[in-house]
Amino acid sequence: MNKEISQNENIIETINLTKRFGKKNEVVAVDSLNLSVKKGEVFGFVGPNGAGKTTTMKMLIGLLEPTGGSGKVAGFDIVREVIKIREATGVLPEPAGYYDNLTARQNLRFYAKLYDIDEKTREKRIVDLLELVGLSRAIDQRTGGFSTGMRKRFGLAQALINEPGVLFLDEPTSGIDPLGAQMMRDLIKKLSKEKGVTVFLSSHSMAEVEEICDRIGVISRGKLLAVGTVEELRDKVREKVGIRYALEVQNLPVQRVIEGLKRLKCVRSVEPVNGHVSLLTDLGARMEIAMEVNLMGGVISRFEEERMDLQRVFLKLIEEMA
Amino acid sequence: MKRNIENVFVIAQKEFADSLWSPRFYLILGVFMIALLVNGYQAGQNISGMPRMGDFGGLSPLTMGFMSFASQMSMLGSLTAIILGFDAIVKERKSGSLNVLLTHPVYRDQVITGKLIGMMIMLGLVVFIAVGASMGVMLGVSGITISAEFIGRIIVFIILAFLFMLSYLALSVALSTFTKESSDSLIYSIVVWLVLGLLLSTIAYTAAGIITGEQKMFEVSSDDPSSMEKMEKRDKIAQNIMSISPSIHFIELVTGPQKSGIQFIAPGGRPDETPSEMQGLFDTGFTFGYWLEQNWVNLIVLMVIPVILLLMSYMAFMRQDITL
Ligand SMILES: Nc1ncnc2c1ncn2[C@@H]1O[C@H](COP(=O)(O)OP(=O)(O)O)[C@@H](O)[C@H]1O
Ligand SMILES: [Mg+2]
Repeated sequence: MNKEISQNENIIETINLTKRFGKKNEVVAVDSLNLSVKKGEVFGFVGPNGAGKTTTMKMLIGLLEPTGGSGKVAGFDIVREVIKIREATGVLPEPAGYYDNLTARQNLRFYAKLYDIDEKTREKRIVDLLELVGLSRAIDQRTGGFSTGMRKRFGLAQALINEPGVLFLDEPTSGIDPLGAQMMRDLIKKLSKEKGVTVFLSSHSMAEVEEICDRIGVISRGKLLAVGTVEELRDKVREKVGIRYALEVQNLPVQRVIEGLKRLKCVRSVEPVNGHVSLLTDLGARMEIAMEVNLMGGVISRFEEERMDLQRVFLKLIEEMA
Repeated sequence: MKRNIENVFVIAQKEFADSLWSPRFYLILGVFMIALLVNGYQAGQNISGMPRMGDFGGLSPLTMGFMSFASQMSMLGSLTAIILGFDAIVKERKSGSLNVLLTHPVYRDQVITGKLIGMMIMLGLVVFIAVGASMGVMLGVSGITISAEFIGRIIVFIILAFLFMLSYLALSVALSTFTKESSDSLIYSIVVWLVLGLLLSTIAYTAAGIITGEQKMFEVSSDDPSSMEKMEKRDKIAQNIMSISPSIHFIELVTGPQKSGIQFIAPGGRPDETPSEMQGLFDTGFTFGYWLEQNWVNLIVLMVIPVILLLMSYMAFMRQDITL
């Protein structure tokens, strides 16, 4: 079913993908989005509510027609080859609902019948998938009685019914408890590692995408602000807002150190924090600072970068671009 | 292509099964069945007691039996159809299950087509069983035997009843694509049902009265030709207004042209027992062909109404952004 897509080729690709809503097209939900996701990658799409994550996903699976631009998923055009895309992908939408008068097994059976899967394979796959997502014991229970966490995991099983090469997961952990969320993240990691599934997931938690994603795209108000690995995103923010260091110096009073460093051009700000010095500097200022401290006769006992919390990185990015 | 048709079938099958396991559907179906069965029993009794009862207003007990069938059908049958369809779309949209369904390889038109087919099959089954059973009771109790030709007419009756109920099914499905809540869809359907079933004749006569300037019902004397004329004009307008209701066409098809109220109450009225007029589908004094000839307009209207409503729900479903 999948077109041949070799490693390193983009399995998801958009060119200036745009969606506008409203009578006069006045609401820009997705604004000239250029994205590419490689085969086997776990890609995280992060952004605040209303950023355009769901709209993007809907366009990628042919539920919404783009106002402009184009896109391909698994080699198929997102406008003209919708059914082929749906055959090659699995989707956990948000919000997601099931037939609550039916059991988990009956629900999955219904979805499975929409594909060419023979009965024996189908029944086995249903059992296997529910085991995979930890719902073996609930296989013959109605989904109506499922907790939010169970529903999310069931949603994952449902998305996997056709053994897709690409998974779209819209906020797979939203609304569930921390334990359930962790379970979900572990499952996603496992799927990626063991089955080589490409995952495109959205989230509003940077910590979450940091944990499970190879690459991250930050979206706000329909615009893609930055794409890259976690490290690349950090660098980007470092460039913009500087690097924060914690510095501890022997043989010199804190106040002296602060006064000395204030004079340096590469130091943006410096202040005392419980007995040590916290400074914000330009990129590549480390050497200069170390030399300055030595010149003043101090001995550095600690000089480390305070790793910026990713959530901050994320907020900073959004703030910067706005 | 083959897959497309298969998927319509998968959805139709599920829709059918859903109503098959729905308690609320059984409830209304039960009421409908009981009413029809009781009616069948009574009609059977009347028919077997025919000699004692004699003719009543020129109507044979058999025709009267079918008349009450038809009127029960028009009240309860339509309600049953509404219950079958009122949350078909809105429930699925609201629960988010449509969201999930459409991520699988199905087009919207397949979803709506499948759902409509599933419900129509269920409706057909309901009509067939309900009418078949009550007719069986009627014939069994009365002890009369019927010809193959008459069985043919019963089958035509079943088809008419199906078309009639389909109008209401299509109406409630159409409303369920427009509304945001199941309860709204039900209420709107019930309102239409009440208006068409109970209030329409009052509304129609009042409106016709206002139009013709002839307000009072009983101020007619057969000696005054102008008042008769006005009355007839008023009847005609009222009938036209009432023809928006599928019930009117259905009942006319089954029991013959409706005599307007006036002819029954006209003081010293003309007996108006015109045996030359066919009294509906089951009047065996006339051939089936003659019935068709007399009633083709009604028949076409009864077929066109559900088609229009089905198309409406189809288009509404296709046009909306139905995902959440
Ligand atoms: N069907 C719609 N009609 C009008 N506006 C919409 C529709 N769907 C989404 N939007 C708007 O598009 C923007 C992006 O929404 P969405 O993609 O759902 O964001 P996210 O999933 O990132 O929270 C929001 O401003 C939202 O109000
Ligand atoms: Mg969203």
